[in-house]
Amino acid sequence: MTDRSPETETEADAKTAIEGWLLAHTSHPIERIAHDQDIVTGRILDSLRFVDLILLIEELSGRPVDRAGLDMNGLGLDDFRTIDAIWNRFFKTP
Amino acid sequence: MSTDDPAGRASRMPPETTPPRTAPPLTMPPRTARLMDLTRAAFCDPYEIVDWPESVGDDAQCLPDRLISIVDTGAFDALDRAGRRRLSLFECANLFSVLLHGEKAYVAGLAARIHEPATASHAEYLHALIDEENKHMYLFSQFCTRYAGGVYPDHGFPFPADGPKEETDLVFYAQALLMEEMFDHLNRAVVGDPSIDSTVRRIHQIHIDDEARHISFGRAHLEDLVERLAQTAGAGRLLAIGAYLDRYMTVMLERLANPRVYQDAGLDDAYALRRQALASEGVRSLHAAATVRSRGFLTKLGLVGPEQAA
Repeated sequence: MTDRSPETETEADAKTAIEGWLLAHTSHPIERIAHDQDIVTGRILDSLRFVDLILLIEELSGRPVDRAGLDMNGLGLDDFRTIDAIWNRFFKTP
Repeated sequence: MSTDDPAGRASRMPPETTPPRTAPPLTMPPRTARLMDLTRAAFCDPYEIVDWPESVGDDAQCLPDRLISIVDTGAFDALDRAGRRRLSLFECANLFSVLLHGEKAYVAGLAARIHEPATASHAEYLHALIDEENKHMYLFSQFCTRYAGGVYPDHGFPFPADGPKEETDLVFYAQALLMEEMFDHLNRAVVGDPSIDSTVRRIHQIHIDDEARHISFGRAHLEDLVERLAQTAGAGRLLAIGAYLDRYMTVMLERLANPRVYQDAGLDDAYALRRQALASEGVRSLHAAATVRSRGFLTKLGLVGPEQAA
């Protein structure tokens, strides 16, 4: 079992907001998304809604996510594969 | 090396067991041949076709009000004439950026498919089409770079292709056609308004003229692809593809509401403003008008049911 530090209020709020957005925009009849659940392979997130997810991340994090920045930082789909991964990549680092 | 073959080609010939290539030369279908003739007649130099002024939008808007994403919000009402002109410049640059990124994806996909058996007979025309799309991208990027601080970034991300090739090909060509038809509606709204900046109208007019040929090709080709797929896929599968394409149209038009544009125009709460814009009657009626022709065509092809088209 992996040791995990307790989530801060900010982290919990951001993850809940992302989960809520995904639930509102997926065609899957689901009520919860585990924060370590694969949302790409499971098609909860698809390519059409990807741009909107970027805008949500920008709004919640207060930082722009430029495509140029994505390339320079070597990001890939794995950085968006779970809600935990999104938090770690776009919110955790100062 | 044989004296009859100074380049030494004989030694690089395939082994004798390889059957000779006996296929007859490919003939372009008549419609595509006609489009090729029209393309030759319309050939232009993209580096000379527009006289770029020092600035645009000093005395005129770059988009009509009804094409401005926040037209039905209080933030737009609060802008004075100069503020609206400035916003229209960035909205126009965003429209060109969305088109540019769409055409970039089309060109990349076409380049990958152009000499495949399904499109080989159209290849000569498709090379010309790629050339024209590249010219459009040049014009759009010039406008954005000269007047609006650059092209707005593309936040799309390539997802792995999903499904059999005949379906992914159909979706690819359908998406290109839908982009062309939706933006043709927007292009015509700009060109039809004489109060709009003349350089902006010139760029939109060039796009309209070329895209008329691309739309003609795209419709005929999509009809062929649907007819072929319908031989193996059921009506339910076609409707599922149609539902995806319907969502694609909505998502692409929603990209015309861009928080970066609002920030560049000096407006507050850019992300909330986008939500307001997308929920507004003005945007909804524009989206309906821009998609009505394509929805009718998708319905005719059996990709959209009559109740979905309404």
